[in-house]
Amino acid sequence: MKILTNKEILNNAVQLVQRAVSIKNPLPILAGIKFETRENQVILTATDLDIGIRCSFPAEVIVQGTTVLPAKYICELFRRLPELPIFIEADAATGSVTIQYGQSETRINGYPPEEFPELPLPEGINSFTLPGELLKEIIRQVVFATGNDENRPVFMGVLFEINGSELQVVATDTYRLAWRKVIIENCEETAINLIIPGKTLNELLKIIGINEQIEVTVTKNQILFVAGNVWLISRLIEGNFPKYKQVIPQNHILKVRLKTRDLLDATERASLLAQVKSPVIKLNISENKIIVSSYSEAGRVHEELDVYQEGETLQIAFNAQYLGDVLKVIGSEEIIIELTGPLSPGIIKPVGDNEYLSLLLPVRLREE
Amino acid sequence: MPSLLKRAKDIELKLHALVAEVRELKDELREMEEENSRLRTELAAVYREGCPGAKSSGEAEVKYRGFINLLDLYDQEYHICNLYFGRRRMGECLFCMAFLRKEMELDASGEDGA
Repeated sequence: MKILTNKEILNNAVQLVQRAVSIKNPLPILAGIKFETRENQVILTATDLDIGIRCSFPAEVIVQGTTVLPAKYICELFRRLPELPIFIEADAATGSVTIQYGQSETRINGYPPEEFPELPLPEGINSFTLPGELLKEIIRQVVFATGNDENRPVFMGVLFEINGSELQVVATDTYRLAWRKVIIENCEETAINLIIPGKTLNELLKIIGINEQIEVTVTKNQILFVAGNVWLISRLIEGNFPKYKQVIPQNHILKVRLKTRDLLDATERASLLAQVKSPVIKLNISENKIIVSSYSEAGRVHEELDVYQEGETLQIAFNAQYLGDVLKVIGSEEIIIELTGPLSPGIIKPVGDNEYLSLLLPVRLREE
Repeated sequence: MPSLLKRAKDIELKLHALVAEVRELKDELREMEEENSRLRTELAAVYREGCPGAKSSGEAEVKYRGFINLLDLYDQEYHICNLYFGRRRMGECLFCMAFLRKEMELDASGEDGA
């Protein structure tokens, strides 16, 4: 293989695919990035067998071929290359790869390319497209609620429920739950349920741009996202997502409406002084006011917010971190909080929008 | 100083003993796991019996007791939801709460009907 390219293109592509490189995997080849040429394109691939990222870029291909280079060295090297034309030449016989820039060169020993696992692009069973901006928003609004308990893999993923042109996205770690509904255009009439690993979606967030259409292809156990010249392939989580609709309370005894920013700021300040291990903040709701308070050995915080209140008065406590997580992604200026009781989950949703909601279980207050 | 061969043999013996012990531990563990899951099923059965309750006048009371039992179990930090019934609970659980809420609504509607 011999190619001619420049630093910027090369570095961008390598930084993109290296997210999927697996350093700790017992298979040493997975610590490498595969370079292959196809006519005047160079395709870079990395995978940890759970997810795979592929990126192609145009280059002057002098000799076609394939090589696998250790990500650890080339990531750092490519970042530090000078702004000069760069030749990469692989010697198929010895496996060593020469990187030439100006009058200098670095030689790196590659891995045998035939050991690199094939990354079959799934044949589409179902496919649809989503605007990148919308997909990013959906992921951000939901993915924070995924769990990290490996004994319960279903909760480490996000459920995508497609029914006709309606897409419902849900994640829960059993302490909180986030749900979002959107209508997708140009989708075939299908009904599919898939659980996408939270990790995959977090990676996806980093690689998709706002102004592009994302093509999504789903098979039985894999999902492929294509964003321009970048592919991300991931396995899906097997298993059944529990019936989540039943956990959403239908009747509330108290409803408040307030500015998102006000509550977020107060929550963040109050959590500064809350116990570090479990940052609990108390909300005291009465007479069109919320009193946000927290205390610990370090001191105490007491904040009053004006709200619009409907219903009974209530004292409730939440994990400040969890409350902050929701408020940061809700993306609306004003929110409505619906409460059913001091022990029942609270519902947080944007004003005038029935397409998003987040559930949060209160923390039980110990008798003082 | 014993010969290298002797030392290697000694280590081999020790390793054999260790493997045997691990195997024993594994057997015990399996037995305990089996017992644990049996107990869990039994517990679930007992609570289920407590809930639907006897007919006649005592029905409401039995139902109520079943609910209190579940609440107690939840308070003792066990899951009562169908996902993880009888398992240790770390923090609150949305599914348990949903189950409790459903039970409570059933109770309430039962009382209204009476």
